[in-house]
Amino acid sequence: MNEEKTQIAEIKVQIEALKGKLSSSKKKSIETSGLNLSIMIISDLAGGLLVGAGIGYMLYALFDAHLVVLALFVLFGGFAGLLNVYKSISHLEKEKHQ
Amino acid sequence: MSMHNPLEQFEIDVYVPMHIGSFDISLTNASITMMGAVLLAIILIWGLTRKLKIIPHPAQSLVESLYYFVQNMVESTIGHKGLSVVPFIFSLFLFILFGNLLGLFPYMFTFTSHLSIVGAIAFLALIISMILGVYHKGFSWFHVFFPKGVPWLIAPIMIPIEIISFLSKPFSLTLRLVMNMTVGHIMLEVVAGFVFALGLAGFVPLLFTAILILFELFIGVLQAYIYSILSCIYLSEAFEGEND
Repeated sequence: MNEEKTQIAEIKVQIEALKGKLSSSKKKSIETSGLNLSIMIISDLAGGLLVGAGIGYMLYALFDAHLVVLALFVLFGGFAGLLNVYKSISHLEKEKHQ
Repeated sequence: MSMHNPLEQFEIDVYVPMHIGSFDISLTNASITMMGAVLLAIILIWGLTRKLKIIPHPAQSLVESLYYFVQNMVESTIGHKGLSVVPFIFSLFLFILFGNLLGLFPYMFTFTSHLSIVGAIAFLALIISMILGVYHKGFSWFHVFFPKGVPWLIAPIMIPIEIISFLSKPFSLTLRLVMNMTVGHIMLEVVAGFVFALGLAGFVPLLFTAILILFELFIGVLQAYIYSILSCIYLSEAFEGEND
């Protein structure tokens, strides 16, 4: 009976040690490699620009808006892309410090 | 000597042409590989969890660990309330994973290298995020575009930028996966093209191709993980403030 209890206690200690190992390995960042980071930044910037330009073009082509509206939305798209890069990098930094 | 075009592998071939009205629902190499990925996932999950036991056998524990891996990922990103989206993220993860891995087999099509396919999944995540956001928070979810406490004076600039930033997330999610997959497969095809072109010295690119395939296997798994975790981060906006 006592032997069983000590065995269970040993297993519990082993499980806790493994959990500790798992959580420390989980904290490694997923996007730390240079290629991944560059692809992330390019895709965030391009995504913002594409959507901004798309909305601007739709307003220009469908609603006969002034060309300035198209230029303004391209600009907004660029800023939105930068905002996305900032959000992604802050998320990575937060993940690193956790 | 004619050189093989490395971009040829991304061309859609129609096998069985089918139309419903003006809709083209033809069976193509892309749709067949997608069905293959779904079938493989179903067979794997169903086959390995048919005889469930309390103390799992190795095959059952493989599926269980995969599910718990996704569940932990969702829980650490979204929180406990986000557990309702685990089935969606798990299906997404398996679909992307099998898509990436199947694409490495000869005569198979890498559907995760196509903007339309990956874009459609990212668009689905966008719709789900919006629906869940409105369902959980009501109209206060729209504060995502204009947080409380921000001066009204900057609203005309901030609201369009935040809306574009929100709408562009599926685009960047799509571009990220598509770029990774396309670059990897082009590199594989180019290096493999040298195996026969170099004759006896072809064993060097052959060895390099083998290493590249191993690397692509790793990239395939990693990208499926990144795509799923980014979708989780994306969906987490719908639950923000719920776990407080």
